[in-house]
Amino acid sequence: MSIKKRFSIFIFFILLFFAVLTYQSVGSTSGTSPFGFIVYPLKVIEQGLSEIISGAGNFFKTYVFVIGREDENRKLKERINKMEQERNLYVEAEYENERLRRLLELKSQRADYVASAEVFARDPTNWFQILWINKGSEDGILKDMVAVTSLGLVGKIHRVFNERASVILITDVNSSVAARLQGSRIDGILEGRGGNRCYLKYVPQDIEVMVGEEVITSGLDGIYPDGLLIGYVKDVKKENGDFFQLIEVTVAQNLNTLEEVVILKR
Amino acid sequence: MKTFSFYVLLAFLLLSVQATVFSGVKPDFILVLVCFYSLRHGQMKGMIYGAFTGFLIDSASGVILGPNMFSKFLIGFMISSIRQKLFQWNIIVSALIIAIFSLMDIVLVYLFLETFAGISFTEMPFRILILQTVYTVIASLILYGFIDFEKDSGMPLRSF
Repeated sequence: MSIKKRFSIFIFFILLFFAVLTYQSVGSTSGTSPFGFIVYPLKVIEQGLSEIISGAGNFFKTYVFVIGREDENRKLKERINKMEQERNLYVEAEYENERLRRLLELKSQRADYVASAEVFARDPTNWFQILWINKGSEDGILKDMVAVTSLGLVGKIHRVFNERASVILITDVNSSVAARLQGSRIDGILEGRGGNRCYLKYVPQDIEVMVGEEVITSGLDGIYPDGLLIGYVKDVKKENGDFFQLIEVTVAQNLNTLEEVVILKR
Repeated sequence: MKTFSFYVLLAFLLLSVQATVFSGVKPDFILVLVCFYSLRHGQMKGMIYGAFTGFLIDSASGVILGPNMFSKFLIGFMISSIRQKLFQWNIIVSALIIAIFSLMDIVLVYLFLETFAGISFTEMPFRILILQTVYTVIASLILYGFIDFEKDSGMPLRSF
């Protein structure tokens, strides 16, 4: 292929990309991509892979570490192995039961309950804090519904497909939540900063904020219901000359180890 | 076509691994694949593969189509241009080039997201992006062993 032709193709692609980007920046970027079909096989693979990883994890926990023991001990080891397997299954089941019990409690406590779902994947890049759940529009999930656990707020629904949906976490840079300091009843805006960090902004400097104070949703944004626990004040920064203080918040629910979420109505 | 399909499948698989196995900072397996594919198959195929895999990442993230598509396309183009000027290719050169392109990818995606999606990452911890580069280089060292560069069609490769 001649250099001229190659250069033309290169320029064509560059122009195409800029056209696509400009179209999206002036239009709506409402999370409903016309190219949802390309995500489908990816999510099917991720769901399968997630189950394989979970199964393999149990296998390694329970079996692999006893391979290679001596023959005369085999029977005994097999018995121990079986018991270990049973014990680990029991422990796993106990943890799962505990998590599900809390989710059920949430279901009975809240009239705005929609569904509970399992987390099977996360955003493949480091730019966004997004996770994927195994429930979608078929289960009544709609965009902007709220994701929570018994420990606190997780995020809101970002994209919805028939059988799966994505949740944008409160730590994402695109996320902002109307929040309130529970003790002092002062409102602010909680913004995600990526990498599991959140900051509460627009709280005046003259307000005394205690480290460890609870931060809850205020409901003023019309998306998140009021009174949901978000986290606790970790650090307070007051810069001279600034009108507001910057409050770092530790999220109550560890968002890196999330396995199930409950979806609530807006 | 057969190799292209194989690399496309690999992209699907590794992107799924990125999404399911890693919960903290993730390496960019796709960047490594784009670099390796472009090295072996030249500029045109490299650009197309880069654009396709970038499109895949943008679709999976679902925020805006284009930043990764553009960045990976450009990397596919540039890496094969650089390859023609390098007289040798080995694991050290590979790691170094991938580190440079990983940083370039981060800067490009950052600029495009900021410009076209209006999303500011100025407050994002710098540590995450540096760790991403380190992990990507490590991933490239692991994947290097699985790619047979000498089985290249047309492009002679020499090493130390």
